[in-house]
Amino acid sequence: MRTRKQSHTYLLAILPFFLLVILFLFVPMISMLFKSFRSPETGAFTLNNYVTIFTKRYYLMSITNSLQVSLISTAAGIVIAFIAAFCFQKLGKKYRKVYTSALNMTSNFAGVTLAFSFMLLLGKTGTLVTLAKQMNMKSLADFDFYSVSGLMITYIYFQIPLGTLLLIPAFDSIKQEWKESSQVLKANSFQFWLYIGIPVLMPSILGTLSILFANSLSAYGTAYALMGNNFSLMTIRIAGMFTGDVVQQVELGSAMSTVLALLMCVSVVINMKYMGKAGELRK
Amino acid sequence: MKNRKRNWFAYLFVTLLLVFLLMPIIAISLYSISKSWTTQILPEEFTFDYYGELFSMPDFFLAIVRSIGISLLSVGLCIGILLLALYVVLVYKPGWEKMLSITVTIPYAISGVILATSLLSLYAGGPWPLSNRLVMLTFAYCIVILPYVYQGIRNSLYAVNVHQLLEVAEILHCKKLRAFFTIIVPNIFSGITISALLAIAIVFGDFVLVKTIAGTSFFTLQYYLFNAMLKSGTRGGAVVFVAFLITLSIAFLAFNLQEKGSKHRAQL
Repeated sequence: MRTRKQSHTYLLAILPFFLLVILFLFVPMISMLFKSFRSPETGAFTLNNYVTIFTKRYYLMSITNSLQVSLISTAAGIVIAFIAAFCFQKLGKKYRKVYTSALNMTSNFAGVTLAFSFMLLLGKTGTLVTLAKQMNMKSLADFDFYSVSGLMITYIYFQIPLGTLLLIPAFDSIKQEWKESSQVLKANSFQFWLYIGIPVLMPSILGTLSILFANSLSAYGTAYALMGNNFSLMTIRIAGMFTGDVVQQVELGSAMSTVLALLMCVSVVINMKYMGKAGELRK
Repeated sequence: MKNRKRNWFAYLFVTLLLVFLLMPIIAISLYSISKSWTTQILPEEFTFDYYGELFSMPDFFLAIVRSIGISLLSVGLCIGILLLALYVVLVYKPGWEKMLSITVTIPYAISGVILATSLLSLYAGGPWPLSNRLVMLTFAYCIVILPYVYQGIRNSLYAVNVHQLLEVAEILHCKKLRAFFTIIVPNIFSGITISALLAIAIVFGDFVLVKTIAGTSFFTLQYYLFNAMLKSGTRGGAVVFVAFLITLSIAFLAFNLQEKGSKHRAQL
């Protein structure tokens, strides 16, 4: 009898956790999913919210913009981060320390802070723009920071430290002996990286890629601080649909949220698959 | 010779990258102490007036206090909840661990904006205390930091031999729950502190959740920053720099603790 009583009391300790995830994670997510299939007028089941999102230019543009900004900034980010992590191996001990400190520091530099700082450099009266005007560098002097290209610069900026910090440990898995044996077999450095280095690093690269993609897809602060509601991104549209000053479009917003959540899920699943592999490899 | 040539490339690339990465930070720090900065690459005159002005403003202080307060509250709550849950899983229900670890990874896949809007539309007109914006915000932060805090606590729990310690405690007639919180938890304290600091930095830097859920009713430092930026006064530069310094010190504290921890383990 006593043991039975005891077996119930210890469950009380896990109760707060269940309450937290049920009330603040599962129920909101499920209710969002339901709302996305509900007609705003009648409350009946409908697929119209999704149809609207994928057919009306206004909404579709936010999806294509989000994907475009995320894909380009991820691609640029991973290339720069790969070279940066590759270079890390060649540096002296002291410089490595400076480098990782700077990466750690700048990886904390995000959101509104980041947007504001770049505005000081590249905004209408920004330092670099002013300088370019004085030096007659037309392309920089006429640079419109409050545009997709401006946004892209800030996105690439926050991808680089994150990507580099994730890739640096992966390069440790490339053994010096492999390079030596490939040299014995008369392979040059380019061939070594093409046939051995990059394939070995592939799981880490793909894992990092998916993190960067998810990271840029879900970003909000930087874009909002730069352009407010004037630029169409999924996160900005979603926030606008729920907190709109004019009308709230909860059902459409829920459908958009579901699409975004699905995209995020895909990248997280890819990440778990490849990062797991990368971890096994390093062992 | 060939090797040295390649090293030269590495140093050049990294230096250029560092210039690009540090440029906005240097710009903002210069801007925050410049009296006038209009036509030249460097400010013409320097002043610390903006910092003086800033620190004499009560609402700036209040914003910092609110930011730190809600960070500590939500991180503390999250740690407490997870410790209790992990206690049950480790001691009584090892089979539940898989479910626990899958559950805590879900927030990774949910963008802050989705979490904020779904909570808002569900509970805004709902029953008290769920409808309270501060309650909503605090628990939303708990959800956001769940994966990070869980990973930190779990890794440190596995580093100590929980089962053996608990068995010894039981032989000495100490109840399991008491033993868990008086023996195990102090043992993994530094591991918890590191993940707590990282989680604090995340909450501290949040803008989307506080803007969506609380709006202007809970004015945190990030919100203050956003408003200062809209006004585009030089004071904004000082606000950005202060916010960045706070985040940085939290992150560096965590980083140093981690380094210390790994050195300590290496010595063992």
